[in-house]
Formats: sequence, C-alpha cells, structure tokens
Amino acid sequence: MNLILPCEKTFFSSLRPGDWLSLSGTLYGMRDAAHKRYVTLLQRGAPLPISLKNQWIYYVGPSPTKSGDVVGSCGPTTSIRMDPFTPALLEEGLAGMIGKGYRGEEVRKEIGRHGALYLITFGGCGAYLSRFIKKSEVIAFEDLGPESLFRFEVEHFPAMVCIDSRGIDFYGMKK
Amino acid sequence: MKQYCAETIIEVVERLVGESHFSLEPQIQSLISTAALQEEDPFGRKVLNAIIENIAIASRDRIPMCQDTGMALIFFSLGINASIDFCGYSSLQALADEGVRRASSSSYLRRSVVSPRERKNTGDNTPAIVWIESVPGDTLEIRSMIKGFGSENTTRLFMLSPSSDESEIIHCIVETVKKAGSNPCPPIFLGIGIGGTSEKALLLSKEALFLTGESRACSTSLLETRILQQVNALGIGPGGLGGRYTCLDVRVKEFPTHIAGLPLAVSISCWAHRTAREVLS
Repeated sequence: MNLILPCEKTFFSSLRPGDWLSLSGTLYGMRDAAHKRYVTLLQRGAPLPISLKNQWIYYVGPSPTKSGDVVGSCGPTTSIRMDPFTPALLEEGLAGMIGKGYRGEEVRKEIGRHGALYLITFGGCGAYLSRFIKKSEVIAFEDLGPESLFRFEVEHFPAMVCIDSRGIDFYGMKK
Repeated sequence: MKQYCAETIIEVVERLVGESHFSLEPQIQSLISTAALQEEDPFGRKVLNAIIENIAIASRDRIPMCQDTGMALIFFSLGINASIDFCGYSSLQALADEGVRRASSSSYLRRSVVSPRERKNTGDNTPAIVWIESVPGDTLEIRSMIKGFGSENTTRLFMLSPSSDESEIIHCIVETVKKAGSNPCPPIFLGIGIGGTSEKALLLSKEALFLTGESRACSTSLLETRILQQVNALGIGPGGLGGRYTCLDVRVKEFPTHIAGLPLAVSISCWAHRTAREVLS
C-alpha cells in the first residue's frame, strides 16, 4: 500500500501490524544525539529547527555521500534507544517513526494513545535502502556529523507496520 | 628473521577494513544464500532477499552494505621469527589506526567513533581495537572484524558457578539471543567464549566469531550443534520477522579457568558479518 508523507494520522486507522507500505515524500533523519538535543530544546522552550507535527522520523545516521550519489548507506538503527525521547515527540504531533527492532511498553502505549505508527525496515540494508532516497540534506545540528538532523525525499521506500495506530505490536503478537 | 615494513601493514589494514564493507567472505555469503533458498517463512524470506540484493548493490556500486561501518577490530598474529620496520610509527596500534584512517576516507565510511563521555567524534574512526598475539613461525597474520553496535550492544558476560552444566550454558546463550530479538539484525552469527577470566572469555567469543562459517576440522562440536538448534527454535527469524534462520552459525572457543568459576561470554554479529584476513609471509 502506498502512503504519501506527511499526512493526517486519520489515514492510519486501516493499517495493521505486518502490512507492508511503500512510502513517498518527506522523512526526517534523526538518531540518538539529534533526539537528545531536540528534546532538550523542547523542554527549555527554545526555538526548534523543525516542527514535527504530522511528520515522520527515520532513525538513521547515513555514511558519507560519494560524489554523484544522493546519499551514502542509509539503513535503520536500533529504535529502542530513542524510547526515552519518543513520548515528548509524540506529544508534539509526530505521526510516525521508522527504525528496526522492538519498542518498550511505554512507547507502544503512547503510539496507540496518539494514533501514530511505528514501522520497521530492513536492518543492515543501507546500500539497498539508499536507492529509495531521492534527495538528502542536513538541515540542523550539523556539528553532530552522522547524527545531524537530515531531511530526505523518498520514493517507494519499503517498510512494515510494527506497531499500529491502536498500539498493537507485531512482535507482541508473535510472543 | 623475516621483516615486514610499516607501509605494507598499513595498506593491508586499509584494504581489509575497506573491502569488507562491499563484500562478505565467501563462507559467510554462502550461509546467507543457502538460508534465502531454504527459509519458508514469507516475512523471513523477504528480509533475506533484501539482504542479498543489498550485498549485490554494495558490491556493484561500492557503497557500504550497512551505514553502521562500526568499530574496526584488528588482530595481529606475529610470528616469533618476524620483525617489523616501523618507519617512524610508534606501535602496531599506530599502524592499525593509520590503516583504519585511510579506509574511512577511501571507502567513505561513517565516522562512528566518539569519546565515551563527551561524545566527541574522533573524526576518522580511530582508534582501532587492537589485539596482538605472538605465534610460532615468521608470518604476520592480520585479521579484521567490523563490529556494528546494533549487535555489539547485545553482548553478554555470565560468571557462572563451576557446577553449572551444559544445559545452563545453553540456557544463558538462548536467553541472550531471545533478549536481543530483532535488534542485532538477524540472521546472526554467535561467538561463544567459555573459561579463562572475564575479559579472556569475551576475547574468546570474538575469536570464535572469526571461525563462523568455516568448515569444521573433523567432528562437529556437539555443543555448537545444540546451541544452533535451540537458538533457531526461538523462531525470531531474519529481521526478527519470523522464520527458522535466527542464527546462521555458532562457534565455541574454550580456555582453562579457575576451580571457583565458569565465565561464559556471548558475542553476536549481525548478518553483515564483516571479517577479512590476510597472511604476510
């Protein structure tokens, strides 16, 4: 199923864990250090580089871009490390997250409470996934190097629903 | 006395570290290909097919197969009848670092190494993690392993009681893999270190990872087979999405230990098990 990003969270209600999606549109690349800095700014009431309302975060720190390429290797990192920061971002209106691996119980519930989505994609497949990225730029926190805040334009980026908008978890269902 | 020069060693380290991001050693590649043919779970198969396509793109377009280009572990096995002309470099650590520094630049590797508390990036993926052993002969073997931290974070050390039996050892290993779940990017490789002291057991577990995928000399270790069966019975599967291939190979390395203890270390590598080796002679 195709999903154009960003979009209203109301579109998510028909999606279920295990559904494969093809994502096109804008994703923000943020991992550990960018999360920590964004949430610190948020808590201080300081100006934020971007609004995350209805937006999507891809947990990634790409490898350097070779000349002539759009982006370097660009696969997902382990999502659970972002869990301490996720409730604050969901409160800001974050619509979805893409990463790899399971989430903690609190985040699962918060995703359900906000009607958001958590998707997973192919871990370790940074070369393959880079081919779905059509544009890439660093838009903030440049001093963090590979952990900067990126904006990506993607076309038909593959990902699977792991936690749906009701908070039902693919991994939980398999236990 | 055989002599090896600093520049040769640096070039080998650069090549081993660089190339391992674009293709896997044949024995590792072959285990992944076999799993893709035999996995019955449709989700697991989908993940394995993406992995195979990913490796093909990495190798064709020379883009690292995984964006986590890791920390570089460099193992030197230096023959007692070999010597090194250091050409102004201060140590084997310095040679390994120079090789890693060059590979990071020439192979477009992510700069992933930071100071532990301030989190300040070293800018060139140095220092490498260096292990040196003295061996018979006049050769210098250099082995490299790229360790991404999705898998490295799942490492565990158990200081078991000396009366622990095989079933307890296997239980600890299976629980480690279960707890790691999808995080270390299965299908994984397992390196098990048993015995020695705590740090020796952990080092043995990394040494064991170098052996995964290689044909076993004579009799297959019964313990390795049991571990593999029980880990794969978890059904975590490729990408954690389900299937029979959670783990592609297990190797155990043992070392004598103290009467009062039984250290057990479990190291996990992701499917992108980036090892390489070369013997200078």
